[in-house]
Amino acid sequence: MKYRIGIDIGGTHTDGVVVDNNNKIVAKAKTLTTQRVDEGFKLLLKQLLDEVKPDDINDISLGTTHATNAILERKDLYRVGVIRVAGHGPQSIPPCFGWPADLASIVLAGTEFVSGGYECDGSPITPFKHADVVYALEKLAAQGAESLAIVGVFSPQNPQQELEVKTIAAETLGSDFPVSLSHQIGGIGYIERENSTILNACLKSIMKNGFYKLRGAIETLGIQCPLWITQNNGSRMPLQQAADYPVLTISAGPTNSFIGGSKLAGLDNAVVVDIGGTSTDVGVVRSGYPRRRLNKSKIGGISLNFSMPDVLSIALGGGSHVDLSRNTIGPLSCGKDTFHLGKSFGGSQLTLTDIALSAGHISVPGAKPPQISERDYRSVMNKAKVDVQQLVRSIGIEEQRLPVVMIGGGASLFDYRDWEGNVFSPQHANVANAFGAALAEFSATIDLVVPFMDRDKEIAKLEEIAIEKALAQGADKRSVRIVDRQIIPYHYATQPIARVMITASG
Amino acid sequence: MQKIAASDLDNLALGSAILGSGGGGDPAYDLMIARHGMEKYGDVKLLKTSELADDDLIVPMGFMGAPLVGIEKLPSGIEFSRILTSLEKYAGKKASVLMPFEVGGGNAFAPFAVAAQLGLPVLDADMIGRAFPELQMCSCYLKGIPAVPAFLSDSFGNTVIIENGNSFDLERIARKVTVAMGSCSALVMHVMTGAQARNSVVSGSLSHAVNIGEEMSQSCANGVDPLQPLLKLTSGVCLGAGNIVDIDQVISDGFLKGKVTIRNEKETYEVFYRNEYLAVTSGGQYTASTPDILMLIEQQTGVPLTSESLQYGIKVNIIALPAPKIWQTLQGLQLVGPRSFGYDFDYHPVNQETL
Repeated sequence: MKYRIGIDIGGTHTDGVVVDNNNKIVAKAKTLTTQRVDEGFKLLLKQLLDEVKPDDINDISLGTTHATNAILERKDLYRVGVIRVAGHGPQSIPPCFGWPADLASIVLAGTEFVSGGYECDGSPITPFKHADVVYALEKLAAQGAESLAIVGVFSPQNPQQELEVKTIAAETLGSDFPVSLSHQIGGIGYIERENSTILNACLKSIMKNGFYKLRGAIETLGIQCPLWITQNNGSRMPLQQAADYPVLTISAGPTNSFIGGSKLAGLDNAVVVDIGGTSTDVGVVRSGYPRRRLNKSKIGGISLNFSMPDVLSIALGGGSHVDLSRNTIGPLSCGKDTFHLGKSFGGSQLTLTDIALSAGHISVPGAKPPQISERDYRSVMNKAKVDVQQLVRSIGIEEQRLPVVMIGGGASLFDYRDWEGNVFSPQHANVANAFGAALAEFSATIDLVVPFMDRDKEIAKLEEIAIEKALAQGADKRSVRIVDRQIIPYHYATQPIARVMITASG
Repeated sequence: MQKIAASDLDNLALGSAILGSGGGGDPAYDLMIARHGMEKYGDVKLLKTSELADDDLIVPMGFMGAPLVGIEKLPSGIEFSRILTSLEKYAGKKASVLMPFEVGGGNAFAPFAVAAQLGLPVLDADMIGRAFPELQMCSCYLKGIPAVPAFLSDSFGNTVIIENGNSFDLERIARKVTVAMGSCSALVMHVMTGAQARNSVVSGSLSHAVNIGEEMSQSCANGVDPLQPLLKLTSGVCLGAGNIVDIDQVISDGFLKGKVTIRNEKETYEVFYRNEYLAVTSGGQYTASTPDILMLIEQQTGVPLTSESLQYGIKVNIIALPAPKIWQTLQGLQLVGPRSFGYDFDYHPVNQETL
């Protein structure tokens, strides 16, 4: 019998599950995420190895907030040199425009413009010049760039010039110098694609160190299987690919928890609510796949280009500060310190966990919950219920009829019998994200602007290509299918054209 | 309002989207361009038409071309300053005041970056008071101000001057030149004196758009649906509400043409569009049409929906704001009334009493 392991390294907890061939959870474990992430990871794996032998493990799939946290905390980021391949010198909007100022100043080492780029009809804006690129590379390196972001006008339609820049960079700065090409990261929309590419470039440092350390941890435990990293569309990729495209791992966490939650509940269509230590996130799963939003997807205030899971959040979680006199919950939270700053654990802060413990609704060994009146308990729990139900309502009218699956560490804080609608918390709810990681498939996405003369034929052709690419990534022939399809028509063009994004997975 | 600051730009985006009546495109990039220019060079002075001198040289401007190109091939930033150089040589005097040709949509932002850079004021006005699909659908055309000499520039500052023709010729030639420039160009037309502008522009439209945006965002910040505050501010009406249940559209001649069906328990509404929303029916009867400003906004949040961003299931309010006065005249209606768009009925302005 061969097993798969799924692991989620979150802000507070590192969770893991062992899953059999029938996708049943046969073992699970939870530890606190450590400062040195590989330590917590190793501890967790050791716990799982109490239940399963290293030789019986087929593979390990990992979801982590590493990348998201590095951006939010401004830590361990490479300095990035941006080369805009755009012969007309677009100065109207500079790189990192609109970024939080401190993040921009940490990340952006310098910007150079080089001759080239393409018009919408494929002709070059100005001729591409080798010498321009060499000069730009040397200048950026001198300014302290450690990683490059190359962004060419209309490169998703015409990647040649960006690929040429990569070759020249290898000759000029050495083949180890990290280079991120925008056409491999995002689609049409220069600023969002540039943002994604710059983020990708700066994240390569922590990925290089962080992920390879995790592989080292696996090997010291005698495990020989492959390590897959999950990405924001719910699929998994090899370690090397994650190291090249770390920006794709952002939001793998919410995707894994929404997929995991719906699968634990045995549903293909559901609203999934993940109650964590600090926040509660809600998402919608349709046909087993989280609903995604393309436009206005952001991380840390930066607009991005690829579709991200559609998540709505409120600041309500297990560690949220509770004020009984004003009947408020949050927005501040003790987060990962809930179990020593909370009143039940010798601290002085009243949290939502303390309230749940006080009524005996949950119990934690060693906890001494404070005395809370029946009235206060009901008042707080009712407010939490109202806040969460309001959050669920805000995801959309069609979704109101779907069952609501409650997951996450904080899901056990509530009694759902008096909540309206079909609301419940399935078994293993507190490791739903690790379960989602274990179920991750292989996928490929096509993101192109195409002529739309014969719409249905065009889409069918692209779907075939997406499926072939997914199969090449490792998708299972028996389960491969189209999981996401978005079409954005463009107007005032001389002929009908549209941006088409198709994801196949299996 | 006496000036526009970078902090007003989000409100301008919201207000210009409402006045865009379903057209005008996504202003995200136009907003960034204006914001960058103003953060770099400072606030922009806003002039009232009453403050114009007779011999001021007024320059209406905007971008023309495929929005797809607008979000890939960012402007270099010299497009309008090069046009002004050519214009000043042609006119033999300095440009003194800039203005957007349309307040509806992304082009509301067109003058701000260059105004900030050159220290020029922007006129609190536009030539339409909303958005319409074709160049000749503007107040200056109605008032007999020639569209030419018109100036087009590409990102390298290559400038083309079109003179001696009429608006229809301009439309035709300008579109071809724009394609040659990479399907995106900077355009200046209907250049006029302060004396001409005073009676031919739609005054106050920029500050009106900012006020709309401010009113709506204040409501949202207070957790209140911005619908009623918006209608009160604009003397508009709500024609109905419901979910989008069907979207039937084609791209024809570069326009997004179609019909969206909205339904609630009691009523079914249809909204017809050709980029901009042009007519609304309720239970099969026409209840509103162009030139009144028809718009779909999301319930609770007031987020305006352009015809390109329609999606199934969204819960919307259908609103109508009174048309700028110039479009309600006989001449105005001949140009942009329902019959000019092919509908077989006469214009009836919406007001509180009709519902």
